[in-house]
Amino acid sequence: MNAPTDPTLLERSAALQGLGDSRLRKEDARFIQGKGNYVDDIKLPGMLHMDIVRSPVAHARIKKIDKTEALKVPGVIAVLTAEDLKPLKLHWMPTLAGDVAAVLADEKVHFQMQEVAVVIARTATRRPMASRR
Amino acid sequence: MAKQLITVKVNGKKIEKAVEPRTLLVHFLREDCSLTGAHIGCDTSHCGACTVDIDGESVKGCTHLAVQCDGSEVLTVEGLANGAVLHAVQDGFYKEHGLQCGFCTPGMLMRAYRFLQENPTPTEDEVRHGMSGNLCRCTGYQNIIKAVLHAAATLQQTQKVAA
Repeated sequence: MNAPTDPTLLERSAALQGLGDSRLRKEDARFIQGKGNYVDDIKLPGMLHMDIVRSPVAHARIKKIDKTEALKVPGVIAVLTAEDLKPLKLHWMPTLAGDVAAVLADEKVHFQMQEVAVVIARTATRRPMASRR
Repeated sequence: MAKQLITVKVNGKKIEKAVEPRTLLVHFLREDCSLTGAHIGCDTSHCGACTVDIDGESVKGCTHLAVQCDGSEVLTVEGLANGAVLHAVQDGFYKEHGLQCGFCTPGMLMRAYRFLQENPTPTEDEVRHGMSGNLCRCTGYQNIIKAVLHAAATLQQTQKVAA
């Protein structure tokens, strides 16, 4: 942790030329002062924000997703579901395991908290969405 | 939604701003004050990454509305250092490797800052309890405890010198 102060340890440290010593981290200076600049801290001109609407149930057929209430919220630009991705052939995407996965639940929900829709808005404040199935 | 004018002293600077009544303190700090030190880790008041100091008390920024802080003094991690001189808790975290990814660190620091004023001479067990509202996903708790104890020792030393 701290640099040794004991003279014999100091001598040993010097002889090892850095080996076996722990080093103080260079990056910590910004982290301990709140200057980390994490993804959520980044602001870009014209940046939009996305919020994901997830399924409260583990298994269900999606009958209908009503976007009207969500689109009425000021600042909301789009509400996307699998139906919107289908014409672009983006609703099922390949995974690293070599199979495919639904980007947004396609007609059927397969697990709890599965992504069902995304809300895109001008501000990051969470946009509630009236969804019904 | 009708906005409400609030005056908050943030890190010693008076800030007057019209905010929506539903604005959370952490959103106010991050978006309106551009102070992104306080993080939104969970949005459910579990993790403590948004911990700040309001009028001498540790508060999770996601459990407070900005309008509740009207007339209050808020201290965030950005206001912890005195110019170029780090606060003892910041130095403690640096020296004892009290952080890995650093995401929980601002909350940890703000809690440690307040905790050491509530209890300037804590035992290791008391530190663990005092910091229990802050979670670290890197699970570097051992070093966090060491960092807080390090800071406690530094602060006691400074007090002795001053006395």
